[in-house]
Amino acid sequence: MIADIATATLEECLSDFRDRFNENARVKKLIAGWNRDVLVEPLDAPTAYTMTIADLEMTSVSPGIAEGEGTVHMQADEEILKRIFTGDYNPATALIDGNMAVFSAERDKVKLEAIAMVIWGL
Amino acid sequence: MKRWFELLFYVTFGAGMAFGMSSFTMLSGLNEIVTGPWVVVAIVLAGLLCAAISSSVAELASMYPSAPGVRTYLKAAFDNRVSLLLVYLYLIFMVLVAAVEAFMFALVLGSVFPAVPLLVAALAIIGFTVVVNLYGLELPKTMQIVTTLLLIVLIVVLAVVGITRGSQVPAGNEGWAQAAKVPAAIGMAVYLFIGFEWITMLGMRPDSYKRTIPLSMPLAIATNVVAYSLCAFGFWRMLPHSVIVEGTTPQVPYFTALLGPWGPYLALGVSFLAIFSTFNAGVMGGSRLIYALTREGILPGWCAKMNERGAPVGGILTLGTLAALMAVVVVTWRLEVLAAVIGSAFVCFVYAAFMLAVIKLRRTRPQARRSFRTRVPEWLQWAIAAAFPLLGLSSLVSQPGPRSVPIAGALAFVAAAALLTRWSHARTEKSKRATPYRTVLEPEA
Repeated sequence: MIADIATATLEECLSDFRDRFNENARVKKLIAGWNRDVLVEPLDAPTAYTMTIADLEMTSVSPGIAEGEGTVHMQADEEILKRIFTGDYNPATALIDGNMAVFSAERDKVKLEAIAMVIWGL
Repeated sequence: MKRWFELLFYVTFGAGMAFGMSSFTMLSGLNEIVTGPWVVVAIVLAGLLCAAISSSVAELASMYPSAPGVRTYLKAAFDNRVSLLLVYLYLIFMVLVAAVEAFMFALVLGSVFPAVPLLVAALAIIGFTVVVNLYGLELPKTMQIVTTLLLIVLIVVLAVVGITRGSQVPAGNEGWAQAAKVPAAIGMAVYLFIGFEWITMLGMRPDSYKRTIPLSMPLAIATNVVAYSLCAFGFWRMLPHSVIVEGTTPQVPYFTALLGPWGPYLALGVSFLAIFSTFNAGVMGGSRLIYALTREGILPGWCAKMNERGAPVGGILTLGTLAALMAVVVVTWRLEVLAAVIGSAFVCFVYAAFMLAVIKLRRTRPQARRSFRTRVPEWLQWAIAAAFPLLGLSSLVSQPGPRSVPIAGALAFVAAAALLTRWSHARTEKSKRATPYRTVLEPEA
């Protein structure tokens, strides 16, 4: 559980998100058959992270860049990414505000937003 | 993914989005304003103008990659109310187009199966598209490319055959006197290219916005300029003018003239290809826009409802219901050309706003990151931004029949959009959700 977004690192926010992701039964329904690498790239910080989703679980959050077919690539300032992954900022709103970019198939964008809605009740 | 495949996907997506059943309706409508080769002149000039606009859209997309452009670009550049008004006009355009497309499909289906009632066929195709979207089915990229290429190649080949077989030559009334009517025809011909800007939401990687997407939009427009021009020229060479303007599906008599009794079947096949490339993507994209607006706090919460497949049920059903209601109106009173022309006029205003947005953002956010900059000189951007609303309005008043009808129709929709804007603006003011964390990212270039 992240107490203060300002002091938490992006990795901590992503790890916290992974735990919530894996504990949520409704998320598992949403991601049936959806195996993806989600690349989270802060524009103003050196380290990008890859979240691997496979077999109804987020199996890892690790520093490094995944560049394969089907990778969902998210780009934003680190602070915005932290807010998104702690439920403080709706990813759909971030996209419409122009504060975040997502490079993926349309369905993957919808899926990510759906996951955020389920986890955070946005 | 190989770069050439990525480019091909964007180009075919942009061309396919624009090439719908209602494109033939507009080719027929263009012949109401000008005739023969002047239709081709209007198409080429509209294509050139749209290519200039696509360059501005590419610059905006490079600032806000993958964003739902019509809302994000206009919100960043203008007042929230101006942005909302234009977004609502764009959504109204989408509803109008969906209704017209459905009706055109029904008409072509009726040419093969006359027993099927038009309204039933129109509502059935809307219902089918809604169900496909609710199930979260999406056309694979390769299939999208193949269906669009097949559609374009088929149209081009049949157009060339018609041109070589036809015998029509310019008549006395097809001389320079028609040049004065070309601006109104350009306003109408813009409709033929609407949809190229949807490519900007599909970027597969950050550097797609540097070259590939800026290049793909004019290529998509150029592809359609060739296809539409050949098609219009083929119609003119093969068919009497009265036949082209008599109905709103001139492709049916044209294909019949070329292929005999198989013509209507081919027209139906082309309809299915066009639906694959336009209709489904349009409903999906429109529903995503509704979903995004709802998450912003602009529309009621139920519009953002999702199902377990992750499909935006609220947006799909909202758009599908509005399209079905509009289809009832269009089919009952045969308002297809009017609906398409009003929609086209609205998009002329939206495109003008895109050009103005580029000019404004270069002044207000000069340091914002732009991986692509339009090379269209600013004076030309101003000129096009000023000309587009006039072109849209001139296409409205150039329709046969009383001028008051299209103007009254357009004003009614503008009034509806203005009311919705007022309501949504009040909602966003109240809603904390609508408060952006920061207006936009402004990293140094």
